[in-house]
Amino acid sequence: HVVLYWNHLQNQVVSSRKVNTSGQEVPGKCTSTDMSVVRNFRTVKSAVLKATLNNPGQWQRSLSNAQHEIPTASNDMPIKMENPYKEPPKRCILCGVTVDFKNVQLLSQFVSPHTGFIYGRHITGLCGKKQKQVSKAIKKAQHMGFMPVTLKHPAFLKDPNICNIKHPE
Amino acid sequence: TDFTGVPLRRDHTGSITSGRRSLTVLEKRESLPAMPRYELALILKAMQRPETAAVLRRTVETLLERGAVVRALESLGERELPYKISKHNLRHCRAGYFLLDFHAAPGLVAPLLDHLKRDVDVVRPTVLKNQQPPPPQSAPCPGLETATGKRAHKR
Repeated sequence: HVVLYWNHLQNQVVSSRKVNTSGQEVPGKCTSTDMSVVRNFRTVKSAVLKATLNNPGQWQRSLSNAQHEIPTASNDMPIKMENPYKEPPKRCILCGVTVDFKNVQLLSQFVSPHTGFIYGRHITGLCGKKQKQVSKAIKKAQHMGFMPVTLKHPAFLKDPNICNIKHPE
Repeated sequence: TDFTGVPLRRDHTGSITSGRRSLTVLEKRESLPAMPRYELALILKAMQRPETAAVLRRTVETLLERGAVVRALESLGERELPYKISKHNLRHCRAGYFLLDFHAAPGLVAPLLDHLKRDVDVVRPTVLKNQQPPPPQSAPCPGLETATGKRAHKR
């Protein structure tokens, strides 16, 4: 065997020596046949590099390391798993809350204090289902005589503001 | 008493029923044939306690006469009306709110409302269907749509 010492920075062979099969050095200069090996070395090296490029993440810096065990792709690739930092889906504020016509205080939070208008989806921030339930419940309560129509009940004016609307003081 | 002359009495759960139907009616309440569950939101004129009691008693008796099963009667208290209501030549500002849960045949609802509208002491009767809350769905609520949803491609 011809053992070549490859300097990757200079990209060339630094020195060479002859070694027999058991690894012991055989005295003697490298012959032309050995040099043909050197010429062929590029193909060998590219073959070696290809072998290493097949295992992404590994790149053998020196030929001597090729003697070592090449770790397989599965050892070093990121493990496939669900995103552990995934946030729970955003829910509207009434998720899980039953909307009832009797709960006038809750319904009044989605109504304008000046006119008694029912706020739209872009103001309340509710999902489709809940917005529909709320508006239906408000109309029901107003018709049945539970909730005022043209205004917001004065007892509920101090309630916390849920909707994305700022009233001028 | 009802038409057949059977006296009113309390069954094992404590609710007043006409003796016409069997005692197991309330046990099988969810599977009662053609007896959906209704809720009567009764708004009565602001009166003294014995008079209110009398109105409620005759309302319940009317229901039972027609073969309904009264489940519960709740009082929401006497409070100011959200807006003034004119009824039976009177302008009402305060009223007593009552909720009456009952099971009845669908054909009973319209005549019942007609009867209640003629009652002088009743300000506003409303009968609603009382649906049981739906069972929790297998799939959880998907949540609000993000900006990449409907609104995005509208622009």
